[in-house]
Amino acid sequence: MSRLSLMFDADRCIGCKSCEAACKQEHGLGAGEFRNRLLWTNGTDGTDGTDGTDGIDGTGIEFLFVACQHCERPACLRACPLVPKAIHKDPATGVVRLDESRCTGCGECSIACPYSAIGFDPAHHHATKCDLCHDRRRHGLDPACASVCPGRALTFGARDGLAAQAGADRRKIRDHDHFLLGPATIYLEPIGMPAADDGQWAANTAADHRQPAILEDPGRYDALKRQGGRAVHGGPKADRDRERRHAGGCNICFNCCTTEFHFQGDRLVRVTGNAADPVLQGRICPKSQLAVQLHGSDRRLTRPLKRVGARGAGRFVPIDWDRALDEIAERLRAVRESHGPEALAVFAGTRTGILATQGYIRLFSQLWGTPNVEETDPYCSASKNIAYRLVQGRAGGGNSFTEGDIGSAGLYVYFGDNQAETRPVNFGMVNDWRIRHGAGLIVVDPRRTVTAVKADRWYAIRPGTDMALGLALIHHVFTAGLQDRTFCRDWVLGWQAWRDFVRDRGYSPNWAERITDIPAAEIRALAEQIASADGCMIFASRGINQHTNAVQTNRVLMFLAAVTGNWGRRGGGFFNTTAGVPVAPDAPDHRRARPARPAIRRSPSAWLDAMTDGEPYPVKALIACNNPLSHWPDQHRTRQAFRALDLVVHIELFENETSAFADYVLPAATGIEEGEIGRACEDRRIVWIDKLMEPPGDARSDGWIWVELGKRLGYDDVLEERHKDAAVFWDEVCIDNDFLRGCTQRRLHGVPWRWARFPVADEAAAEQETLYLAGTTALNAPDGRRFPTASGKLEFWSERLEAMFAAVGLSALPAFYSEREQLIDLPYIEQVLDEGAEGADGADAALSPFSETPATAANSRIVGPGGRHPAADLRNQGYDTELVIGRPPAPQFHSWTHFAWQAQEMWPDLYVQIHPRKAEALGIRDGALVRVETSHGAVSARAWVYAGIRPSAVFMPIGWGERQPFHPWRSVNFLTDHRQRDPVSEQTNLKTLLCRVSPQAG
Amino acid sequence: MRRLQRTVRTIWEDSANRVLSIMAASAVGFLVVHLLALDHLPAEWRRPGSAPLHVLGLCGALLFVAAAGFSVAKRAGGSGGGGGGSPRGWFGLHVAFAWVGILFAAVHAAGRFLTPPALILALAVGLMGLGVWARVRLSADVAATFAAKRAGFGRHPPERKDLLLDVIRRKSALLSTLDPQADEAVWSPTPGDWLRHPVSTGRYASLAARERRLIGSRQSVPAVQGYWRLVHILASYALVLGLAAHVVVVTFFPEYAARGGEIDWWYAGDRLER
Repeated sequence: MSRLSLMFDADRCIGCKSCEAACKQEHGLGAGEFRNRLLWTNGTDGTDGTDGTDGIDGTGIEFLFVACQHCERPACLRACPLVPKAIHKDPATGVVRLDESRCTGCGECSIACPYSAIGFDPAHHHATKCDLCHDRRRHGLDPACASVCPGRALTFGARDGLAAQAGADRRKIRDHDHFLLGPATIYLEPIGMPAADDGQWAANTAADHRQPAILEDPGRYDALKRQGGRAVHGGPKADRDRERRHAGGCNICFNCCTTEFHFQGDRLVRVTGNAADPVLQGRICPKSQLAVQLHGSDRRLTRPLKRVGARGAGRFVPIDWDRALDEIAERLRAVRESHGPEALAVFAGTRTGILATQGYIRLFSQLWGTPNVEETDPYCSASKNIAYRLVQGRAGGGNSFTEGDIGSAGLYVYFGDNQAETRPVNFGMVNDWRIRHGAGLIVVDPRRTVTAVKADRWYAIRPGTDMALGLALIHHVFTAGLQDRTFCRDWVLGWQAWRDFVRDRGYSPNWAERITDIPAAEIRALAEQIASADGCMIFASRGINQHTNAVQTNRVLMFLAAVTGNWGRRGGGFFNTTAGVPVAPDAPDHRRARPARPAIRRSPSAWLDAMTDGEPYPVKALIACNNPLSHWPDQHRTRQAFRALDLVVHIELFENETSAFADYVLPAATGIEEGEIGRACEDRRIVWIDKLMEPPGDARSDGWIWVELGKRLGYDDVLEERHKDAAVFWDEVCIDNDFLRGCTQRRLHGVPWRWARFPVADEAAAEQETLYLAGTTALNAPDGRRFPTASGKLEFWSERLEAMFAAVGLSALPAFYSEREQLIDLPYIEQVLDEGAEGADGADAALSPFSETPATAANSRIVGPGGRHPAADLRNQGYDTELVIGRPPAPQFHSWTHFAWQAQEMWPDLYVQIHPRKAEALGIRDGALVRVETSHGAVSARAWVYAGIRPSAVFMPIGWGERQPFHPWRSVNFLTDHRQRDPVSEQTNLKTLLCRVSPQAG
Repeated sequence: MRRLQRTVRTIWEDSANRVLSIMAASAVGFLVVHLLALDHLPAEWRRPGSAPLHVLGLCGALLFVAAAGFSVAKRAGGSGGGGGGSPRGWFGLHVAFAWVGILFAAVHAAGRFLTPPALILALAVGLMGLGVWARVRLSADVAATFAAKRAGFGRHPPERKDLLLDVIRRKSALLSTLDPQADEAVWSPTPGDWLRHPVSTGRYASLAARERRLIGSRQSVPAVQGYWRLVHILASYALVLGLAAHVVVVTFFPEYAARGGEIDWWYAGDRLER
């Protein structure tokens, strides 16, 4: 039998650490115990300017997978002083195994192994090591790490076979046998890297570079252990045969991975990928796996609580459900009595789940009569939804993550989308396809994200100026005559007006160079590459959406895709995160309480004035179903507003920052404790998650809570008792539309992967991999109308559109503007009227033409760079650095993953990425405590000195909060400004602010 | 029964660090309390040579030797009929024997901590401290060693391979005389080899040490992690030798041990009475 081994391809690795999570689950390892690790290293120091972009590092982050090498001459085995040894080597497979029951914990094997691949259990005092998942292999399974790897960076098999495969793929194998130990693990050389003559490493590798200090601090494990960072996963391996497995899915992020939940008795012991899924094939990221720690956490809220101390003090007493709901209903009635039904606001999303957010809460609010119900869209994706609706007629991209569609693209271009860290499984597939097919990958982002690390070219754009880049790309496409003339003629309304507008405004590459910091020649080359590719997928995400110019930038990028013919085809399209789930049930007309007043500006940030000042009308009660006191911008102002409320009800899994400000905290359930679908999936898959276990203690599903509250307000004829059952609610209430009607429980349970891709008008309807293909008709459109717009075409400009944009002070043809806080003076948007000035009670206010429900509108104008610019004032006050805020790496998602200790082991501290030159100038060393301050607030964080970022910028991730259990830090939203919003979508600028950074004493 | 065993083991292992710390602290506390209470104890409990203290000293010495025997037992193949017994069980006994041995030795010393034999007690306490520190504190550092030696994946001078190849060839040649059936890849000397072929085994061990130096094993971790165990082992050898010397001196050279003073050995009754 051939030696068994793993093969690691750093080109395919995206650093998500799913392998670590899988290993810990499989072997029940606690905090600080490892059998494998995925290391991040910083690349070169960034002073060499290897890519010609002014000292910005040419290598970026590199990854190194460390686990037992299963050597032919294992040094660990020879070092073991026991006779017989506690370590032995299987002569047939070459697998080196450790008998933990014999190991006395002397640590000699750990000293002897030059690959540092021997772990140690410091609680039970014995070594621990990879045995290539001996128990899984006995059941015919691959090692856990390889089975989940989103990028297929880890593969397992007979070493000879893996080596042959590498040869067939023309990949070189690195020689890392420096000690003549004969390591079995195969490491592939990066593509394009020549092997050195002496058989040594050919160039700088991850092994030569340091991990960021924030990741190399074992002292942080102690905090995890003190706080209960012990294994709650992985039951006895002997009981594996008796495990129950249920197919389902993860509802944490937008990747919507399919999973299998493993139970021993009533206990959830692990979450794995679903290998039967024809698309994802068992790939999952760490989040799905860490969910076990959310279910098993002793920090879960298990009883309703009622506040007894001051608001914000976090002092509560338990209260039973009946009393809690009776009292809440009574206080809600009092609010309605005094201030009207619109005085109740509801904020949901993130952990809340689609069924609650778009189902139960939607119905409840219709019955109650408040329009002030928002999801996280105003902070995440409202802008692109509006842009999609304006251009395409419906929100969401039409492509799918399949090899025949997105996998067949010739070029992938990412604008402000760090897909590798935010939807790691989808990017893992994209990356695999582009390597296999030789497709190009280009990333436009102020920092060298993991997505950018994989790219052929990375453009370190000035934050907030993607619109200028898009305009210049289009300018060159038209100037050089590179547009898809047939597509423009047949399927684009108003493209000539657009062409003339771009030309007349002079939005050329030369014009964009100074704005974007990208050389004009590079812009031209990129335009030509996009136009000539046989299928170009243009991705965008929060880096585009979270700006005051978000709708217009999204439209510009959509126009770019359209004029190059990349729309309605396989392997070509514009794709901005999530397709949205068309769940939108309505209460019977006669039962709906029509709001007398419009919604307040379609953004919770606009509710703040209503909460404190009653403008345009009072908001006095809030039901929050996630964590606004971490999520909402401008936390000082937000907390001030929360203090002014008469009633705050918080529905959550864990006590967090918002709980502390609540009058009632109601314990909620997770996806598999209540029944749910995956979150708004990127490519239209509805992944069903059965209710598989009871929530802990007295915790209840969101559906149960809303039905029970509704019962007390007389809504039980609509929110019926049986709707507490999520499956019933889904079939009977949620899918009564042409997109979802076929997506029944029967259909979802008819396949082992538990998903169906909408639209499916009936149970028998075939799924469509790619929407809007040539020769097709859009759903519910008259024959021949390929796109679901009024014209059946993609719409750039029309008189209707012009009137809509004019209502908020803009033009339907996107004119360039950026953010007000920039290092150079650029045009920015200015709200002409202050919030609250929409007219008495909001009743006389102009309504937004972009909102599907009546909502007050912004009135704005673009302010040119001439005159006194607010950015100049800020710069004069010392705010000399661009602050970019975004998502943390893959294991984290908003604040709820911070309650899973392993996510905190992987990424413990709030960090600020800072360029080495800037760090040196400020006297900041890697890992040091720093203070980041904007004109809106300040937070502390630890420095990550990283050359893969614009020297003028720093980056901070979202999600940390000051009441989190393991490594608490203040939310980055103490730095943001709730008033800087897109007049079209009300999307807040969370991406481009000016800040100053200084060292802080520890 | 198995469930009970598992429960007991879990409780022990989960609290192992705490138990070890308590044992160490209690041993030191006992020393202090015993010293403070010494003047109030009966006369025979204040003389190391009295019958009860002599018996305690003897038991303490035997416990120390038994504790040191752990080092041999785990290398000797054990008594488990090929399975090698239970090294973790032996380790538990090692800890227990050493702890009780310290208590006995402390009582036996009867507060005479400024005499040469007290060095043995000091060594024992030091060994206990080192062992507990390594177990309770250093374990976290050992765990943190995982993936910390990235040099293993880095660049290295090719000439090292030639040196290593030479060592391996010489080891293989030597092994063919020591144990013709053995595979150099997985072989290391046992106490039996040292007894049967002391010279060849010594040469083999020397080559193995050279290989480790070329790999840089012990240098690849912090010095305390790399060398604490060597210090612990050497100190325990010193303890056993010290004990032997103490026994020989007080048994065969009591006058020397008494340094011209009173000999209070209980069995030397006439002198004790005098």
